[in-house]
Amino acid sequence: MSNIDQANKADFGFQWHITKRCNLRCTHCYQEDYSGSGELGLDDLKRIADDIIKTLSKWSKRGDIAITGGEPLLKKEMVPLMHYLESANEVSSLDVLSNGTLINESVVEQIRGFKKIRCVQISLDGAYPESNDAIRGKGTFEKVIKSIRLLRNSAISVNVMFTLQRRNMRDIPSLIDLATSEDISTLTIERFVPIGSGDRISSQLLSPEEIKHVFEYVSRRVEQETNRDGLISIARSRPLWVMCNRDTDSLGADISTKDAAGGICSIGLDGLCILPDATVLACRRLPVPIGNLKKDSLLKIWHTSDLLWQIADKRNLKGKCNSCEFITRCSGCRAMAYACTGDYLAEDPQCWKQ
Amino acid sequence: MLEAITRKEAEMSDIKTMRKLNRTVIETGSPKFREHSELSTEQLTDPDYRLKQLEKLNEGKLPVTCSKCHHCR
Repeated sequence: MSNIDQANKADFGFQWHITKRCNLRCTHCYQEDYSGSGELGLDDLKRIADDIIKTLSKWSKRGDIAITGGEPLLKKEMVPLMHYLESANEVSSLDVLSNGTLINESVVEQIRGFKKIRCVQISLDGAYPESNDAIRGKGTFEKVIKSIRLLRNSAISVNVMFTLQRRNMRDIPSLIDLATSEDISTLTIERFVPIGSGDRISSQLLSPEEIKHVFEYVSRRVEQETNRDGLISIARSRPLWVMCNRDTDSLGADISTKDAAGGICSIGLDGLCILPDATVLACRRLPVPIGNLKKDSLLKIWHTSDLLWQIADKRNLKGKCNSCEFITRCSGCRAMAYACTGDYLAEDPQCWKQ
Repeated sequence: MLEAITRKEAEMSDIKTMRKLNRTVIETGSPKFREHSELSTEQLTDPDYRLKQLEKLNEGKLPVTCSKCHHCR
């Protein structure tokens, strides 16, 4: 089977934010507005689901749909929408991305009832109550750990999302230990992108040297502990990580091999983000609308969006991204470029490559 | 020394203002779509067109995309 045949069989990802409402006010949040304005009711949500299902069917693809918010558990339409999506053959899996503070036994029972649930992703921004709660709010660490245990006791896979900032970078070694001891499936360390509320704390952005230090540390831990067979999976299929392949041979190899680090920004390749009012973004961290599903079809957006074609043509990238040897395997984070410069084609400002 | 710091702060403030302005214009504008006449039949029908172009550039190897691991949050 060729690579493209495999790609055709692979899932197309939708990150669907069904509400802006949230019970937390995390300092780095990409939202600024937490009102319910513009939110869709169940009928409209189903109409969008129909468009997704019809498009996947036309493409002969199957979709993974991650339901999120705001805090998705605050929206009463979440469960009926997930049942609706689950009933479609074109939907291969469902995820719930939550802040983890509203999960109790009855929520776990509901989630467990979905046959296509793949994982629940929960955010944790520190390895200790003090560091996490300074970012996410008092008492959240304790609630999140409780939720993780509830989910794990019901055999539901849990992913932890950690947003890397200056104030929590020193927690990483302990965070990996914590994630391992709590039996987390995957730990994702995502760079903080200063948009929304996060625009007010841009001093939390790490310098290229600091990012390098963290990424190389994590890669060393992965290498060391893979041999001991005890490590959880740490997601490194993202921009900049490709430079952490210590074995220079692996740079020439197919990076889809399991142990190599690095991944290209997926904008325009295999995923889209939908906001509560049906606005479509190329990525949640790149707040530039590329359409709205109340008036534009998914087909129209995917095939004719100017932004998607601009970013797909790597010759358009600027600065050191343009001439980089890793352009086809990294291409930098377009959201980070946009947040820091106002230009989504600019070089990734956190790249440490000379 | 103080003058240099003040100048640097003023420059930084200009950069921030420009960035904010750029972003506001882009984020509040209407989405742009290309005309069908600007795109080939493959571009208009093959959902993997961009992925295939990238595969060609990457010497026939399909790059891993970040969405294949986990979603942003």
